[in-house]
Amino acid sequence: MATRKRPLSPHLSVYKGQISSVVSVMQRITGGGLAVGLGFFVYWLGAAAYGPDAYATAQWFLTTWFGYLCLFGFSVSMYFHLCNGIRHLVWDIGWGFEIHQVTAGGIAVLAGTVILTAITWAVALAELGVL
Amino acid sequence: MTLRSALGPQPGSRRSSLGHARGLGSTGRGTEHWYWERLTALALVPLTIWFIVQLLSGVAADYDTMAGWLTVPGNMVLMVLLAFFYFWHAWIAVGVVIEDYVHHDATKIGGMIALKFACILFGAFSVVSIVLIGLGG
Repeated sequence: MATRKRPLSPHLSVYKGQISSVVSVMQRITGGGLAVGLGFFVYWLGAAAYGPDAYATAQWFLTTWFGYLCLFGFSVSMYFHLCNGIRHLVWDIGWGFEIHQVTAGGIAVLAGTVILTAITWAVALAELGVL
Repeated sequence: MTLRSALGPQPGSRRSSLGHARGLGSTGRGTEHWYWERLTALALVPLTIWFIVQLLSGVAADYDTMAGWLTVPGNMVLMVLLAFFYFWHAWIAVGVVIEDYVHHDATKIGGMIALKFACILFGAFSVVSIVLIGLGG
């Protein structure tokens, strides 16, 4: 079948970002982040199963600057996906479809992500003696 | 699925609304896929919050602490469930992403197969690891 370049209909890039669409796209992106994070989860469990030496290596890796960066990304993705996932479950039982509710929910998800991530890292860094 | 059934219950039909809706959709499997994505999400909400609280209370601080933590039956069971539902949710949701963005058939089918095998392999590895640690290596 011969194919030729046809004009495409306007796609995502022509639309101005809105809280509803941006949060929706971020649900997919953070979901991807959590799929990567699943690899860290498996590595951590596997290291513990292989014994104290392997566990010490995993701990060394996770406390390098790169390890911290990965864990930070993991935690942000986790909280965003968790908060927005709850928002989706609320929609699934039929609540919150008015535009002002969708907007308020999106803002609540973003605020919740920032606050929960900040609390988590404040506690974690205090325990590690960094803060 | 016939066009007739897609148009909705016919006047005088004795089928229930649920009976009519079952099996609709492009794959003929109705809302099954959608339902399990939600069910696994619902399970992951409390499991994730529990896991984060546990981590912040220092259960992963060193090998002995973590191994001791997993010898508690409740902790072991919840960790197994967390791993199980985390992989199950990824199985469904990463599959949706592959179906949406991979347009080359061979790559799409290969990706879906690789995803499912990876979830089974690493999911089994996680569960076995948790149980082994809990039972004392």
